[in-house]
Amino acid sequence: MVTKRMAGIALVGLGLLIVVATIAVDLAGVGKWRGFGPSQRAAVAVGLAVLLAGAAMIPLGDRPA
Amino acid sequence: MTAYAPHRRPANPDLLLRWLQRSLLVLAIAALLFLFLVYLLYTAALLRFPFDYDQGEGFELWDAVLFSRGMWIYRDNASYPFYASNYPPLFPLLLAPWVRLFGPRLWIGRLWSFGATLVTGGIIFWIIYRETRDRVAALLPTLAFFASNYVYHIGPLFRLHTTMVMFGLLGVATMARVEDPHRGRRYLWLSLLFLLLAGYTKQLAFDAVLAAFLFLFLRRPRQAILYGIGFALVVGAIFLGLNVATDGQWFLNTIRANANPFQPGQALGIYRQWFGLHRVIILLALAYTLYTFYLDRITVYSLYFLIAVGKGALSGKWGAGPAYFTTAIVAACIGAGLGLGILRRWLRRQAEATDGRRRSLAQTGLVLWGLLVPLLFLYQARLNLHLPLTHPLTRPVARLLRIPEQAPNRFRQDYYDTVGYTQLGHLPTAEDIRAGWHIVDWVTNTPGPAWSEEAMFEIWAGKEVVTNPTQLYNLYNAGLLQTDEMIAMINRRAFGVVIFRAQFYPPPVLEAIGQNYDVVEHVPMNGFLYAILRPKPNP
Repeated sequence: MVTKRMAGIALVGLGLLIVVATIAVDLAGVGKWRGFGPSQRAAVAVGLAVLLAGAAMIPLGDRPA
Repeated sequence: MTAYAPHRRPANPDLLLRWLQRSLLVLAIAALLFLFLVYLLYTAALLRFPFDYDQGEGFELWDAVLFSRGMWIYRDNASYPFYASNYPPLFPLLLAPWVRLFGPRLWIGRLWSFGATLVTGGIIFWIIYRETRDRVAALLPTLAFFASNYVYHIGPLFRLHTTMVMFGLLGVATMARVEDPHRGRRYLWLSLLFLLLAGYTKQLAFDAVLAAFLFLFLRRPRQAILYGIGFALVVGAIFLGLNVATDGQWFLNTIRANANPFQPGQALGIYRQWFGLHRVIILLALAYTLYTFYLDRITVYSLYFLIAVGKGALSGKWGAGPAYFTTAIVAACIGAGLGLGILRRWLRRQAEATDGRRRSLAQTGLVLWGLLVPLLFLYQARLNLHLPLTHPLTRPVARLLRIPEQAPNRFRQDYYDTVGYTQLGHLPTAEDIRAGWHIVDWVTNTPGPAWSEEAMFEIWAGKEVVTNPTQLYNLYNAGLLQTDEMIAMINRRAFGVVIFRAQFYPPPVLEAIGQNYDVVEHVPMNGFLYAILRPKPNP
């Protein structure tokens, strides 16, 4: 059975992945445009929201997800 | 001591409150039903319109025609008639028998798609009512679904999107019952079937598939992995079978051709518009989702909502648009209804508590629920307002709401939509129909095949449909199209007439046509200007 804590950890991981991948796009030089554009800002915001949502689930412990 | 006149009684505040709640509810339902009436008027007008209203409709009909003749729709675009479909086969397959029975007519698919939205609306109501037993909580979001501008625009079109949404929702709704002690396994198998149907209707159904399997994983991880592998094998077997049977054209036309350039700004713009138009149901659904994540168990509907909203990012793809948010609107309606129903049920329970203060607060909460919920959906209806301005049934409402008869940002002046500029939603006129037949006359009366950007002119003239323009355009941009044969035919002036609207063709093809054909007439139809081209006289 998947618990709230497990789901929270998974969301934290997903959020981190989104944030890191969005920043890495610039570092790897992918795409036509340089600099941090509005789409990337939106993606980072989404990533942070997912990360925070996941972190808030972790204290719920062993309750079933 | 206060004296009262013998014939007067003091007003009963409970009665007044109930009257106010009922009046607001009637007003909200009336506003949403009005938008449903507009939807019916639009559907009726489209059923009578024999030509492409949205550019791809004729090609989806042609797919059904080809299937009804026992022919594949995934073909080599480099060879005459340079035609292939970019969608999975289920939708045209389902319509092929009806096309065989009634002939190649657009009303068949339009009626089907309209029916699919009715089924979807019915499922939305059933899901909410089954979980909450609250008719108001079920009815208002169901009507809000039909009131949505996006649902209205595409609902009665000969396009496969609403059928995909219907199957996807059926898959999600049956997966929700997987823990039923007696029929759980049956629901699981049904869910897998519906999800398979959804995926082979349109590739975008992955949101329903993901939501369903993620939910199954949360509740029964081992079953999710086992059935997930099985599902993937079945999907893969069908995929491979189609690819082998079509000599690789299936993969080329449905996967590689759809990998179009991504414009993030387009996606962000549509996200903003979608939120602006549906903010009531979106925020209610978000509240429900947060409730399931932190106070209760995560449901398949909250996952469906989150994943469908995330899928909206794909609306930034070239050729994509607001229709990509249809699933998110369905999921938001369900989440909103479930959230409201659960809240009212909780308040009712609290209102029977032994603690006096809790009872009093709950009763206040119920009163506020009865006042605010209809007001919220009245506001939602206003956000989604769209109506023809000259129809006898809607003109009085337009005047009452003081909608100006003319405005600079409208596609057609006889139609108002809170979306602003939209090429969908207005009612085609008798003049549009006459213009369409005039274009058909050009195709009928010129020898040889026609090269038309819309399929219905060729279909009505009894000729082969030549090219699927956006498919050629996408394949060319991906470096996957040989244009030699089509350019050779254009240079030979093999086509008796060329009909353009948006000219979404590969640039070398447009150049060849420009060198060999002259514009002889422009025909306005349905808000667009069609160019009729004939071969240049030989030097």
